[in-house]
Amino acid sequence: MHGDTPQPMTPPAPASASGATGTSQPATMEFKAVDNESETHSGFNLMVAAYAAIWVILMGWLFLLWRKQSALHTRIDDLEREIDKAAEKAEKAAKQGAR
Amino acid sequence: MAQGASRSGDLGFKALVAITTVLFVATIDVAFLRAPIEARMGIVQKIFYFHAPSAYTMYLGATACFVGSVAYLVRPTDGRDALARAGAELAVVFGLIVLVTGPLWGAKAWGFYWTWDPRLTTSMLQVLIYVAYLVLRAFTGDGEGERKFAAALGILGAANLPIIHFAVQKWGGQHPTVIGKGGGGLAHPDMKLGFALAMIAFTLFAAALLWARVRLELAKSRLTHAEEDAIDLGLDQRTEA
Repeated sequence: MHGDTPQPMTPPAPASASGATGTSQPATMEFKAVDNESETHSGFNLMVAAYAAIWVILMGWLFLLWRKQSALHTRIDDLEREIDKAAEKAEKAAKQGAR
Repeated sequence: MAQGASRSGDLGFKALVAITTVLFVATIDVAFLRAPIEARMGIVQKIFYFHAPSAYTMYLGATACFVGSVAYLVRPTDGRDALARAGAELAVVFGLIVLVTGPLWGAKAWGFYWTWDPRLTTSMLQVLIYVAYLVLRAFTGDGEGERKFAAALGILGAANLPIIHFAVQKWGGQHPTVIGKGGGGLAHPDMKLGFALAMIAFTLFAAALLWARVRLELAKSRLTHAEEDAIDLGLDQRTEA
């Protein structure tokens, strides 16, 4: 992840220091690529990633809660079915008793 | 009477959710649109408005788990156990948010995602303790013994809270202190406002999540009791687990 640190840029020497007398020379500077170095992380991308992660985690939890609730509904349905069966049986028994 | 209490409870929950929503919208507005970009870190500093409140919410969840666990050991009830369980879940969810958003900020601010800094390490430990709690609850049944064992773990987990909090002051490390004693503070009034709104919004959000989660857990307990009664009365042909 960490490559070589780029060298700080050095400004070109003033014209007077380079021995030129009076004539203004164009400042020259060479741009060099640094091998295997991506300058730094994009702050914007990291921020977006952080907020996306927050939503993914919260939605994941919501999904788990929804599944828990679905499991509860299934259990309630099963219980209701069993109660209905028992009620039917009790009704039949009562009818037979009355005969 | 019970129906009236339930209705007022529902109304209170809806009001809580509504206020939380408004506060979140206000937080996003202030944090993203009004608060200035930080001078050294740039836009990535805006992660702070949700990272620090998430850490605080993790503390709230852990505290709820601690309170529920202690109360359960004193006098076991379904409600107390439900509070402990809901608190542990809240601590894990917001702990994960902290552990994901923090390194993303660190990548820009420090140049690396992770370091074994005291606060980072103790925070990860905290999340792992509550993950262990939830794994225990998920795979060991819901008997009295299991609940008591989980309550002990819930109390143990809370012991780590002050260690996380004072880790930076005691042992230094990379993690910055911005708010509170020894903190650098927030220089701009809109930064302060955004952070204050986020803290209030997350507090109310935590309360709403705890409330909803405790209710779900209580409904599950009631259903379990109803199933057991049905089996005892011979209404249900299934056997007890």
